Amino acid sequence: MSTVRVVPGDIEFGVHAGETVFDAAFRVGWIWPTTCYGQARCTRCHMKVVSGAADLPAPGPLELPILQRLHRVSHRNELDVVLRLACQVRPTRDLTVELKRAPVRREGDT
Amino acid sequence: MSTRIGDSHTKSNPWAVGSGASGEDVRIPTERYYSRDFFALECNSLWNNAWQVACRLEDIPGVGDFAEYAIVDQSILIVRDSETSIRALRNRCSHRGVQLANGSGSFHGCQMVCPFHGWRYNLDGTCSYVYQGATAFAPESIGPEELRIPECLTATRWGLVFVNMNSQAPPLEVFLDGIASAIDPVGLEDMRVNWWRFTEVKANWKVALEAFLEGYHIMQTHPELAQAAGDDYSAHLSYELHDNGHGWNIQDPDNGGIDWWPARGINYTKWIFEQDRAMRVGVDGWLDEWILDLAESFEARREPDSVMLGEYFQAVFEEAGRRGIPIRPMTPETSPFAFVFPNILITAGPYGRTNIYRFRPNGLDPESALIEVWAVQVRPTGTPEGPRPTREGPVPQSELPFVLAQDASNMEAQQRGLRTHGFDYELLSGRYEPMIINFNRTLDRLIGT
Repeated sequence: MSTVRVVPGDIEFGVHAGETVFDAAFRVGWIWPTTCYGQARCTRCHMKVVSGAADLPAPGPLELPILQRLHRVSHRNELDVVLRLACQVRPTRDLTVELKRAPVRREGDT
Repeated sequence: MSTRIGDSHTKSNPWAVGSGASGEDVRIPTERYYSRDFFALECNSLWNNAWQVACRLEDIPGVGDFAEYAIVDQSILIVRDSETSIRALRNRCSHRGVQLANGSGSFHGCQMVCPFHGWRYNLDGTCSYVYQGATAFAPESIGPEELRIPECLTATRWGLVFVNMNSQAPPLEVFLDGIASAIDPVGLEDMRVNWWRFTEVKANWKVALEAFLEGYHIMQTHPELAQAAGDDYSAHLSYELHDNGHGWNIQDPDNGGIDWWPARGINYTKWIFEQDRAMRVGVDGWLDEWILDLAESFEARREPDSVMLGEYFQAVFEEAGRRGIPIRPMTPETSPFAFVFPNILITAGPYGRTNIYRFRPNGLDPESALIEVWAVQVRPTGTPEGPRPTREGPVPQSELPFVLAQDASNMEAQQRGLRTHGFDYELLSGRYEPMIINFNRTLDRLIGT
């Protein structure tokens, strides 16, 4: 189990081995920003990895082209910025990530 | 054709299987294999009404996992919507019809999302979100029942998920009447996928299927299986046939029973061993290396056939037990060659491995078919569940295991030959090809006259 810390919002939750950040957030009652719900399509779940980036598995063929596009569009290919899709990343170590919009509580959860 | 397949106006069937031949032989109109009108009849009467294998339970182990099943021009998403239930949902958004998913994968956050305008559905098919719904649509246009994704019937058996597009269809158990008891003893539900491949052939789906429904072709098409036997190879297998189209080969006492003999002058036990070796490579399955080793130790002995073969099967069974592989007792009942109408063939060997074949039209083309094979096997007790199986293909026919490549090699030539001017009927042997005849007669009963 690794821990993901999200800024802004100061949210923290655990991610099981093999689980994506998106699925872990949903499991504990957060709706991570998305409109495609985990299909690596809408890009809204993307996060800037502030710490722990070096320990992440490399992006796969589904994620990589999307990251490249995001990079070109929003970060003018700055090399020190690490972007990842929360719906694809399965972290093995602790992670701190930055979002443009904080996750919201799922309806019915407190 | 301007009409949608499901709405064909063709009601009559001028291509019914006739007799027109002597004895139990029959003539089958060749147009059944290329006529678009007959293809439309099949869609209306067969595919829209028959229970058919959509996927394996292994394909959708977790909540949210889905597998697409496509038949002719219809697509169905098989979705695990809870630990204990599976749904078969029509694959289209209620807004403007875009398909919700393709292939296989997982829906996350328990939501299926249309990629076009972001409408969402729960895994049970109810609509959970319409983008800007309050301003975009009148409330009565987007009521829950209007937006719910229609479902097909589902049922599971033998580790397979069956679907039926006709909501009034009788239950799967009724549909499988007669064949279920032949397949139950195989223990298919204990088996897991070793490999899963498909190939495309330029032939009608029935041409592809029927190549597997008789043993009459083995002598010429599969020399490695017929071995030293020439055209004295015994092609006579006995079949139990059912009115609902199913059939399987049985050990017929009148036909030598379990002592069925391939050809005079061939040692039966050695013939079995040689066939096992050929099948292992020829269908990329059948048995494990350690069984071949065991067979070779028996082959070195010089004892009467009948004694040795019984001892051999017992030795394999015991060794499997020592290895923790819970194979079923090795009897003819646990290793049938069985056809499940309309398009599934199960060739179970006695060694805890089975190939499952599925034959389908390739989309709307009457002269293109998909042949799919799952090679499955009993795992040693305690083996953890592996990752979801992946489907490979289309595999070039030449890269199929050689016995299957040999079968496929005849299909396109037959398809072209069936179109020959003046060749209005093919001739089927009532004695050697009865499963094909029974299959076609069942199809005709569904179509009506």
